[in-house]
Amino acid sequence: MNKFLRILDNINFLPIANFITITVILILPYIIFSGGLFIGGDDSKSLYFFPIEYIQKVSFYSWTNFSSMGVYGPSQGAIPLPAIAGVLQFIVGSRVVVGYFIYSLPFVIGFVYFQKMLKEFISGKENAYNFEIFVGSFIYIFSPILIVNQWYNFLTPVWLVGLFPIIIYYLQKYIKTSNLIYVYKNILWCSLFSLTLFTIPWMLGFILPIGLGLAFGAIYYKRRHTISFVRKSFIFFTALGISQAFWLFPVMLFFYNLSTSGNNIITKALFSQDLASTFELTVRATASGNVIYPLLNLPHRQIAFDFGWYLSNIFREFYDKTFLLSTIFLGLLFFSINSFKTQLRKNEQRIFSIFLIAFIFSLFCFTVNIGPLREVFILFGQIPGFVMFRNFYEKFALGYTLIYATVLTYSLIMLRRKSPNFRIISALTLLIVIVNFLPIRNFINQPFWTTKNTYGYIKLPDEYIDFTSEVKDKIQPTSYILSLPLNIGSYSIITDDEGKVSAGNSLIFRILTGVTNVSGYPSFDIDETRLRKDILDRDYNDLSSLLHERNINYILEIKNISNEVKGSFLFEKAMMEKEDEVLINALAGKKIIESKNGNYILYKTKNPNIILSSKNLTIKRINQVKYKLFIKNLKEKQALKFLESFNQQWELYLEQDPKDDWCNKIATEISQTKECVSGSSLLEVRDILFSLKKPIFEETQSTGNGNNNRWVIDPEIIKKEYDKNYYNINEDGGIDIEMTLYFAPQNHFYIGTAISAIFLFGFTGYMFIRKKHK
Amino acid sequence: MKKILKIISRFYKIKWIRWGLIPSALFIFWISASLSFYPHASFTTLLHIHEKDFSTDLPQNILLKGRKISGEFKAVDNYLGILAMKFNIIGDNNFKEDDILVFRIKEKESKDWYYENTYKSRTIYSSPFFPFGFPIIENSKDKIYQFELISPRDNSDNAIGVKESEFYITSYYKYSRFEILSNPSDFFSYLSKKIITSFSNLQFFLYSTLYLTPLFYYVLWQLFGRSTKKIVKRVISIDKIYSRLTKMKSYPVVVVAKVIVVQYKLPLLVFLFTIMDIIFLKETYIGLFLGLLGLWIVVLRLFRLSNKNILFLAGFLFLLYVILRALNYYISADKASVWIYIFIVIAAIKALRELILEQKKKLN
Repeated sequence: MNKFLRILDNINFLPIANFITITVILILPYIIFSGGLFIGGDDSKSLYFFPIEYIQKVSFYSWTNFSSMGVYGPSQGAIPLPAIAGVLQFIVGSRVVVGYFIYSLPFVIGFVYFQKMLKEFISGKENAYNFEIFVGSFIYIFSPILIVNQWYNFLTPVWLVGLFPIIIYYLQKYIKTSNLIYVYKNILWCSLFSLTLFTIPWMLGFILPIGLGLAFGAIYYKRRHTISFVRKSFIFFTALGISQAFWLFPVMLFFYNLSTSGNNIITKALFSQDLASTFELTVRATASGNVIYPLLNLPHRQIAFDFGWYLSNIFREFYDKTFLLSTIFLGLLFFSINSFKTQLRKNEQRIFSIFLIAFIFSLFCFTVNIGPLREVFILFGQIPGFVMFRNFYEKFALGYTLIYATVLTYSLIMLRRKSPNFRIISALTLLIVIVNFLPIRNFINQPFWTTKNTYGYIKLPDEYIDFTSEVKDKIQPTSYILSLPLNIGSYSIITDDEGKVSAGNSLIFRILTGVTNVSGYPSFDIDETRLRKDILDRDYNDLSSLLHERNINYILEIKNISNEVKGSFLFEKAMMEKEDEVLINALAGKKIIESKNGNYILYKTKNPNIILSSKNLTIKRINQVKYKLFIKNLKEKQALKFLESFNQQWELYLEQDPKDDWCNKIATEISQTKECVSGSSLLEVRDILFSLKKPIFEETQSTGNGNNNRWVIDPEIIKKEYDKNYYNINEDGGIDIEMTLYFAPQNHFYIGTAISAIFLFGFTGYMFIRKKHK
Repeated sequence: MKKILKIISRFYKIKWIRWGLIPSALFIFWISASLSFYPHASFTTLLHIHEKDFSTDLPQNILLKGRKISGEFKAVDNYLGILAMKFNIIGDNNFKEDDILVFRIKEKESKDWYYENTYKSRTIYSSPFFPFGFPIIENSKDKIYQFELISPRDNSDNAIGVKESEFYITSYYKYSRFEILSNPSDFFSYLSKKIITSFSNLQFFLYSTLYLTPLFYYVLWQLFGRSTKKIVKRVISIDKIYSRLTKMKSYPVVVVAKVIVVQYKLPLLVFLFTIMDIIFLKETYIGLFLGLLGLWIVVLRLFRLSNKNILFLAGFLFLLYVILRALNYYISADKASVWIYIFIVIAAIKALRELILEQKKKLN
């Protein structure tokens, strides 16, 4: 075996081995999902399959609709990656191929950059420890802890699998060489994966332990080295921060606005006393594991059994049987602690020390249930914001895996230095990692939660695609659609031809149709209790009023949800029994669309509404943050209602030379308001000028019926304060005016983008000149 | 600040303060804090555990219709007011169909029940050591009382249960403050009773170790907190006396064993304590844990255990963990895992500290 490894060394096997591994990672989604889409879950994952649509309908705007009335929530960090995915889709021509490539991408990047990072930590001949580092990257990427937390969920933090090693690698390179090219490269990578930089709890799950390691590790360095490290880190991260202004600037102002408006939902979520108390309860309920399984590079076992997770089956069928094999990781850890002083060189010792301290803290945070230390963790809950770690077994998992893999790689290198013959242990470790990775397909293809025979990863059925396409053509994006039966989480539930089910947030429907799908009880936020009562009491008059108030003008009846799914956690039996034909007959009017197999039927409600309403009003939706308005013959004060969530930053701007030539076709007319067919322009350059313009009637803005917006339009104010070219006077004294309703914080994104662009161009230019000068 | 520190250090150097006043103060802290903060009985309540003087009628250990937990016990004091029992949780405690339990108690000679009340099983789930309260019986001392706990329903999903081998009851005697504080002799009489009844209860004692920690650490510091050389000298002299006292003709194996015992008697003892804590105690007592940790620190300091030895201990505990898991002793296995983590932390800290010392040495 050793001979074989020596031969491998002689032929520099690493590029070949990496090529094979990367190919396997790229092929893996084809094996796991068998051609299905891995859509569904908390973020729907639709941005990977419908990237351009995602940018157009979701991430480009600071006003977003997630199965409910719109809210202020900038998420422009999720533009660069979908943009690249869109280009790839254009080149490749297949959503599935690009989607699968993206699924593999964070793991491929993590795999490659983990090796690069480790090579920077190790002194000596450049390729001397290729095999050990190769095995180390296997321990990291193919860790069963990552299977449970990242491979399976594939939520936004998954990009941190690649981004952590990237940032550490470039930071290390920059500190060593002071070459700004590494700062530049880091910026490019971080910009590409900027959607993940907002996943703060997961980031902190790594930063906290490693920060502690660095703080203690500073003891081993001379003062000037520490100062240089702090100075360079400051430059490195400040440059990163400025380059991310395109999403960071709107997000910072979002938080600032929330804090000044006194309605800081996120602050409340992080710092409220109620959450602090649930923190303790949650931690006590879930901290049932122990340190052994993480030490064996396995996920926590006990919690899977306590909560009946599918993982318990994998343990019973697989990991319990490979338990003893996995003890090799414990042995490696013990060896590294015992030998690092003798086997590592001075600088390596220091770096190892930092990771060892980080490892100890990370293991504690990932496990919590370590005798009396559990109480210490619960005590941490008193620290403002620490409640974000109440599901510690998830938030610290990625950071722990990366830190532990680094420690174990060091251990393999130490073994190699002790004796080349010990490389057999590295080979054995590689084998065990591969063995422990084998259940991935079984784990990821687990039945839908609380069902036994319903699986996910659907192939979008033609019936659904045709139906959504018809909705897109026929329904104005200003209306809302109520899906029946309602579920507990505002999910869009799609059943494919094989009976597989996708349940993810309703973004997928919005992306395909442009229309918001109100699909769950939480979609009604403050009106949820009223909705439930109306349904249970069959009070259809009030229910109809509720739908009218919330601009829900259509009802979608979904008929192909299986009984097993209806019996799952997604639905409430008592409520669902009342969401029957009687309810539909009471609320639904004319049938608008029926899909070809009759599984999706769309009705117009009996009492429809319109997004903006006033007397003699013509409106047109330009995009999510902009509406054009034209009021004809305004004689006296009149109210203007806007059925989106109340937000004071929706501003009205009076336009010069009023006209309504932007209205090409009337789509609908309700109570003296004509709605024109919506536009589809992403932005207009002149929108940025709204930042310089003074809005009108802002002091009259108030909440309308419930949580909507209402202004009072007063012709006298216009006549008094504005030039005559802002209105047309009619013969009877009335005036015609044109206004734009605009969500002002959208401009924060444009300003942030300008900052990012200027910085990046400047940086690029500087790098170019510097290179030329050299 | 310096002045204050000087005064403190001057006082500290006075022997009777170091060996008398401070330990006494810490001793009083242990007793008073334990009596005051014990969660299961306030300072004005005495408790007595009855382990055998009762019976149960529970096939399969589940309390269903027609079965009962019953027994009698002798009240050891006046003011009997609570009878607590330890239950096991059966079923999935989903509260969909709460079980109802009837508790009643009377004096043995009496025909009628003195007190009867119904309880929902969910309240018992939230507190497995459940106290059944009743109006205080002032003259209860030396009288025999009978109690019953029955379930009128046949609800196997939410029934409560007991393990006969682990079942015990505790009687509580609630004194009024007025009674205790009426005169100094009553107070001291009550205090002595409280101390005796409390500290004769193992659960209480183990709980109280939390407040014993300062005294324990203080003593450890006084004994072993000196320079290592002095400690080693002290150990060697103790060893010499020991070997003189135990002089006898020995076979080589016995000599080796003796050397090991002499050399490693403290580590062995502490290791045994640790194993006992893992195997025999079903709960984690913070005081006991901290005490053992303190002892381990002393052992590490005295015997200069190498990292290899510490990790060997961790490895041994891992083996113990595997065995305990295989035998389904989950609580003990979890406790073993705690000590594995502690040993890893100790080994890491030791190695990192040695690295600092080496660096300093090189610099010097």
